[in-house]
Amino acid sequence: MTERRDPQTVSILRAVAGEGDRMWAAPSLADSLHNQATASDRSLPESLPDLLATLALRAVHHLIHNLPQPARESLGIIIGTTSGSLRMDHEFDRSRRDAGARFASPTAFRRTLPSTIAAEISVRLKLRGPLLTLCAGDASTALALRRGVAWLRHFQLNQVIVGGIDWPMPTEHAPATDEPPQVAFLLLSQDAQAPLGTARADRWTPADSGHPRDKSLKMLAEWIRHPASIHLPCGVHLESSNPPK
Amino acid sequence: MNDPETRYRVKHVDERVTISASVAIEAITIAGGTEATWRAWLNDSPLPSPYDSAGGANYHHLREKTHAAIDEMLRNRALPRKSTGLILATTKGDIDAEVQWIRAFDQVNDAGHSRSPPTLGNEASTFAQELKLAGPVWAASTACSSGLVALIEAAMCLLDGDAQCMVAAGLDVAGDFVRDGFGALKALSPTLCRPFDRNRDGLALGSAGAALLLGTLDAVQRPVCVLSGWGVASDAVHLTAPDRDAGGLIRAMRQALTMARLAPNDIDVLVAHGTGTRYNDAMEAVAIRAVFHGPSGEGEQRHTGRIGERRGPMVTALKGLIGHTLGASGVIETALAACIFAEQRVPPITNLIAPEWDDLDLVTGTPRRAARPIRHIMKVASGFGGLNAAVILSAASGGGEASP
Repeated sequence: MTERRDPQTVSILRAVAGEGDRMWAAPSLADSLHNQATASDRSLPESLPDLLATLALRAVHHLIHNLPQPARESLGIIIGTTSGSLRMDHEFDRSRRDAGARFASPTAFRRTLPSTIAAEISVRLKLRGPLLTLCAGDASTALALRRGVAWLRHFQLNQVIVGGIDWPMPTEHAPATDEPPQVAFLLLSQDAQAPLGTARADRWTPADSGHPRDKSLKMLAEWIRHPASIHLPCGVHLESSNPPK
Repeated sequence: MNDPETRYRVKHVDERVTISASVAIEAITIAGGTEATWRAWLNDSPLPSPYDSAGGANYHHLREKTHAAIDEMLRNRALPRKSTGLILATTKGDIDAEVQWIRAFDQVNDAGHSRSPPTLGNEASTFAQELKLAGPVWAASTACSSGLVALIEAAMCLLDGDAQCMVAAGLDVAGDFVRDGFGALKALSPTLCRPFDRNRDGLALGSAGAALLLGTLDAVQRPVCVLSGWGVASDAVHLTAPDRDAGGLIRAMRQALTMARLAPNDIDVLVAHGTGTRYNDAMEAVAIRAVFHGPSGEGEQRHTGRIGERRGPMVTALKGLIGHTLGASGVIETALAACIFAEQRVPPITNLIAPEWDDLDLVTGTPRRAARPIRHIMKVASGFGGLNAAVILSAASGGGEASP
């Protein structure tokens, strides 16, 4: 087997999480949201057709709020999700049933790809680096972090946005479906200047790729609220520069 | 200088070269038959069905065939399945099952509906479990570039030591949900899919299951070919339409060339995305010109011998034959592109009769034999949301599996 290199460690420059209509971030939202908006930021819509997409767009908007356009040119995005485009699939299918296949909604259909939200963020915020949407069950967000650490090196990127989005789906053990959409993102960089913390990819550890809920999304959101040292699935380890005393 | 063997030797010296040049494609497989599918492309003979005869466009039939094809590919090699991973490229997975779940959900309403819906992650996980693969497993979904992105991700996992071997699989079925959607977008051809033809009028959907087995170059005895470079970039222009300036695709192609340490005129063949839609093919023509018809004018004289024409590599495409197989397209089309090395002939663009662009070396009519050995092939893909990817396949020095 190929000998593994030393564990890869990168800096976490910014972090943001959201649930429903609430967001929290580091550095704090108040410090950043309304400063130095670029032209594309000013055209940011109040909402998209999909609440999850709206929340994700606003969160990423916060992460890159004062990045100059040249830095956005190569910015990569990796999003982990379990539910994917389930709700938009539902909407398109409803249009097929209501109007007949010949008159199904093209607007709904173009949002039925799991990658739609990442693409929408790219288009709205003019991010031209590589994009990836991945689905890995309960470890989807953790895997996105792991792939982000790899991307910084392989694609020689300066920065990459990684995280997870989900609208919790019913499961056998949790049938309620009134939970709000959730997102959590980090801005990773190889730059070691004043990071919030670090993300490290250790040896790969298996995860439950088939699980319908992403527990690593909740773990990341919790880390953003209360930074500490935590192990996520897939061999990802997060450290805070200012752990609680 | 571009001999792959030479590049491999410096892999421990130059990190960039390690990244670009040390992944081997050990084997390829296509549900329905790799050899038969290749011959259908090369000889314009009937295409084998990827389904059982009674299956129709049924996900489960194709899934079974794909599973069997991958299992056979793995059984023919003494692989450590516990340290082999799988990345499944798909756009919609088992969308029929999901639609059933959605409709049941509507009927019984939230509280009474406890079964979990099918997910892409679950599909990848189940696939890997059935194949007894215990390495990294996930589904990659980047619209119609999913297949190439899965291949690139699998290569990076290998280079990082996350697995000893990786399977990049693609599986998508053109069922009613997808057909209705593309119909609503008015993207379907009422006639035939005719990539790069001046009379092209839309795409034809197809279904496919295929896989590529990847290993590190030092571990694979007889590679089919080498994955020597790749690139991924976004247009950031529109949710469904391609960038008319081809910005993302051009950057992806140039990244791949840089990583492979190749010049544009080193590329012998380009296997285009070639959907047969007005805008996609026009966008690809812009990208081919930008990358291969550069100021040096390097590409044009090799195949034609005529000075002044800017033609670049031979360009071929598959979707006139197999249709647009969405998330699977990057995998099955890369598998078929790899077959070109053994045959040293380039199959034509199926259904292309009246080429729209004279300055591109579009292969029409009958298979083409190149004036010099075919050593480097570029495969590109673009998807909704402006997600573009490019990979470069290089001939494996010292042979490899001669037949697809």
